[in-house]
Amino acid sequence: MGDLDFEANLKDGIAVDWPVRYKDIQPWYDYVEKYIGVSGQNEGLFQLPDGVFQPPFEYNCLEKSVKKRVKEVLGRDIIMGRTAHITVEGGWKGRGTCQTRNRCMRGCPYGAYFSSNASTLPAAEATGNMTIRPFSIVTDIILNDDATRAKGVRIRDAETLETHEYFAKVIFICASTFGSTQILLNSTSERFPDGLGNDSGELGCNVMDHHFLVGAYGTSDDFKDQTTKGRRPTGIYIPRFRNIDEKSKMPNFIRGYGFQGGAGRQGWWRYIPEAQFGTEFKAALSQSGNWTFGITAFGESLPYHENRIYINRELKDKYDLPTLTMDVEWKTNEWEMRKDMKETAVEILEAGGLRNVNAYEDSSNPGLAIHEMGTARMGHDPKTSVLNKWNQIHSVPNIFVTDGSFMTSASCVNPSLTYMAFTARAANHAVEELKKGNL
Amino acid sequence: MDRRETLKTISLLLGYSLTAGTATAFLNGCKASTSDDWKPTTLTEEEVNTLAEICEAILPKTDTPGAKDALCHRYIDEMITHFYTEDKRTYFKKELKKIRSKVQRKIRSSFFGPQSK
Repeated sequence: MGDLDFEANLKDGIAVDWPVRYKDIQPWYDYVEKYIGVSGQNEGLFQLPDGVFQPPFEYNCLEKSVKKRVKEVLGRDIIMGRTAHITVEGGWKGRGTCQTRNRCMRGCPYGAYFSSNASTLPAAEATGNMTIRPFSIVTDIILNDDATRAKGVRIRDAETLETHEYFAKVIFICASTFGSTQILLNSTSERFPDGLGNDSGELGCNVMDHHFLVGAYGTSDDFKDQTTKGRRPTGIYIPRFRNIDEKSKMPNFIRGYGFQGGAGRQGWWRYIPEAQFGTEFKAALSQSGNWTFGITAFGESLPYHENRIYINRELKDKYDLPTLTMDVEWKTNEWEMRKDMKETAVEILEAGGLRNVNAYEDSSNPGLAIHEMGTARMGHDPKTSVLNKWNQIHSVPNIFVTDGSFMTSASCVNPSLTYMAFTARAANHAVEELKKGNL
Repeated sequence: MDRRETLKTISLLLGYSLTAGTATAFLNGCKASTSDDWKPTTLTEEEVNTLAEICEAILPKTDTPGAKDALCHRYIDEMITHFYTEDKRTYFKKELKKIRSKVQRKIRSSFFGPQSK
């Protein structure tokens, strides 16, 4: 995320302003990228800042050709996807390089794709200070007598259902956006009847997610003599080009979207609709099919106060804990943006020289992109936000909330790197404050 | 949506991602047993033999192995045992039965033909 995102709410006059600008978080993006290993190419784009990257993955022949044409015809950039995969050996403490198998979802046995199992947990274990307490469901936070500091957390053991309490000077809540918010909403007291740190009434509100599943695909008759090599674990990316300057302002919506996509030759599955069988069919299956190129948009959604999650004390889960209800809808800005996503997807692929270009749109309900965020947003003013610029709860500063719940606006890019950068920055701040005796 | 359209949608999905059920199967290392004394779990012996014949008709043995050699029928039994819901399993068996009786009516013989008994 860059200042196009951090200044967005202020410029549009919606929700609250981010208390952070790109210059504050940029060193922490660098820090995280160096630590986890991110492959990509520096492009010098204002809307998608550069970083500290391992060498990028390569375009295939059709992607190269489409990239060139789209730049010539529309002036839009197609870049290589940036992804947390190590592409060059050395200095990774037991982690290897990506073998381009694209089986990342199974958990990378080489540790090439970043995961806490491969990277941060071994590092934490090596300090000798790590204790993991599994099967623990945090029920609530324990506060001191005047409710100005947290003392610890109360958990329910998922196996024995026993209650245990753990105490600490500083508490980081990083239980995923809705998980963290649920813990805070569940931590009620005389001081905080509507949830811990909820003086603003914004806790659980402003749910955002990316809306997607709209795009286009087309085919190419070129490059019949070429195919792809390996299974690249990422695709191409088309950075946001709407509402990035005066020239690109759209009449019907604010913010914007990017496209993820890629080209490849069709495999055996192209024969599924044919419902064929027999010897010839079997022979045909072993041949590569047409080149196809597909793109899918990921759009920013706006923070609306009334899009919210709340505790349902009537409906309990199997641990006898209150459940969470989600009440979120897309509004005019998202629907208008989707129309443009669909039209533009076709425009881009046609400009790229593809044939048989078809748009598609599936329903993309909030939550489907699993980028939920914003339910404990950060801001300057305790009256309108839950966290300060260091991810601390305004009124209980020894609690840090460092997952997607802190997001003041959604941007249209994948959010994990931003969560990690803010987490690293918050952890560093906590150490400094502890040393100063402020926590 | 007609059958062709439905299949088209499935193939589009396959092209770009795995369905949740299939992904789970892969993640759990679902694979066919190669043991000689293998027995089907969900299907009966008769049903699994029918299934094997259908698989072989789709991918017959040529100069490369066919579906029976690849033990596709065992894999399918494994899949529907572990990753199908009860109603889906029932439906699968029902459809299998339909195919068999349709073929029997057509060729006026048992599914496997006289020579296989």
